[in-house]
Amino acid sequence: MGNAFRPAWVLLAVTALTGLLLGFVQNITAEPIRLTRERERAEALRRALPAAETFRPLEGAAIPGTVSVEEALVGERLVGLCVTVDTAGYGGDVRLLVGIDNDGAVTGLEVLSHSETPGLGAKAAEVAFRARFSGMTGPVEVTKQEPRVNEIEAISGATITTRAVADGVNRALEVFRQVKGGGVS
Amino acid sequence: MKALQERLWAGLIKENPIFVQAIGMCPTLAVTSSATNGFGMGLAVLAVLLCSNAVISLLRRFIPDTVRIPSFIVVIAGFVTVVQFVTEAWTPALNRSLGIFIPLIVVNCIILGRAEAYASKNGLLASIFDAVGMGLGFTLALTTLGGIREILGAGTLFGKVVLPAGAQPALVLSMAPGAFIALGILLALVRVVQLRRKGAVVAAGCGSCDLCGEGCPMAGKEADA
Amino acid sequence: MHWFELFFGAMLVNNIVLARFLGVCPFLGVSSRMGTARGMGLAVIFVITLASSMTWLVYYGILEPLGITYLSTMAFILVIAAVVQFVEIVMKKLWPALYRSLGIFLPLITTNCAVLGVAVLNVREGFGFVESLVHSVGTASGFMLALILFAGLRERMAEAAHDVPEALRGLPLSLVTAGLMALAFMGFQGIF
Repeated sequence: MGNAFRPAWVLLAVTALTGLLLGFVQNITAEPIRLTRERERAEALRRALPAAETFRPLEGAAIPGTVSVEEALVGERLVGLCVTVDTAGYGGDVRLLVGIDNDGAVTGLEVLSHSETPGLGAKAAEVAFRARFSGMTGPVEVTKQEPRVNEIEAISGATITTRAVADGVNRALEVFRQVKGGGVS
Repeated sequence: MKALQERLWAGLIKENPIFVQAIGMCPTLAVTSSATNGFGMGLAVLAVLLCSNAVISLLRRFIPDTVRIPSFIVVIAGFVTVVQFVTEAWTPALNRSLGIFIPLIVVNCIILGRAEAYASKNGLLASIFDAVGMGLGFTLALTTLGGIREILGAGTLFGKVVLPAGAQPALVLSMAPGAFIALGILLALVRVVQLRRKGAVVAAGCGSCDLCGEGCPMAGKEADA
Repeated sequence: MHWFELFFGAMLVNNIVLARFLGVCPFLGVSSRMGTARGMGLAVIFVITLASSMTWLVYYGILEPLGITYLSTMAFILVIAAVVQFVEIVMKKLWPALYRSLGIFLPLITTNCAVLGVAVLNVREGFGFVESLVHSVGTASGFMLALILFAGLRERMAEAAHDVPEALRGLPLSLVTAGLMALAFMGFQGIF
């Protein structure tokens, strides 16, 4: 082992050791990471449609613009659908999870991810705003006056975000009707 | 224990990485929209710094000078990835709010700077003390900046409402421009204190190597300044 | 239209320095004169373009097939360091004139978090090869734009330096100025 090669050799050893160590740590943490992700997903689904006990991914219901569709079940009885959609907000995509019961009314709205302006558009992720969608059957309209049935009052300073969320909810309701009408389940 | 005290004092106050050395600006600006995020980022950096300083101090006689920097970077990248796994597994909320800035701890000047300036020249225990001091100094700075921006920008601190109901928070402070402005004013205030104490002009460092402190591996190669 | 949006979105709306806070150190450090700012900007465009194509290939060509994407941070930083070294050597040999003007900036770029940041973003957004190329060039152009605008401001400000309160001189005032620039860039938000 010539002296000239020592630096390269040492660098290689350091890299290999670090790589091995990382493989080891990855092995240990892979399971907790998967569990955390599943738990977060399950919690979001439960909040969106509290009446359901279990959720089953609906295969083959790939409707453009939607991320995923899940059937909400009590035992084997269908109580509604959970639709995950992406909608274009002010600062980027907003990912929504919309719970819809068998009558086509929104039971819950979750904002899974967004990059809206803090203090303005980001208010869309707050419970106070999300809760206002409950019971709506659509199509949801954005208004700047006192909201009537199926209307949502725009967040002041963030009309674009409000409109994006309303669009997302409308799209989810459309998916619900398509699934119901097409008899996919 | 005297040595520990000295390194703690240096890291927290005398050579504070943000307030005095002004290094590691990117995460400082990016994740301090709230005190909680600043605190979380500070702890993540502290963990990486502690591990990398310890390992580099142990390996310091073994690593030839020519491949020093790449070896340090590999070690640091390794520990950063470990931190990434841990936050993803057990603190998913923190992982979401720090996002891309966790992998970017790799290129944080503070960590490479301490490896180069301290751990590669000192023993294990001293290097660990140094990491604790610098890491806590960084955490203190980030939590302070995050706290100020959160109070003024959102009216809360660590998520709890602190401003009276009638007060309208200045939203701009929780957005991107507010980060620059708040840090600028904070650094100016620190300098006022320094000036008062010393009664002398403190050199205003603006070259990127001044920013990186004495530990910057690129020191001397900077054309600007 | 998609490409147009991707490019200008990366350059203006999500400006790497003023909105994403990456590459702040060189932004503050190499911006006191217009000439050096231009040199640094060009060097960064060059390195980001090359490095992000390389990291894309490494990620989808090696790491993903082998199932070791968890090594990506380490692999990316090594690729970036290697690309920078390589560019330096090639430039010195083939274009000595270019090397004389950009060479001094190259070593600084390895620790520029913008380079690693773009590589990580490309993977997180799930971009294809051409998409990540467009995104990278847009981002790097945004870096150069911000750097040159900032250098212009600082050259003007340097003339009035003695009017500035002592505590604000240098870095603090630069940060506040950058904040005002970021405020101006927020005007680009929501245009797409």
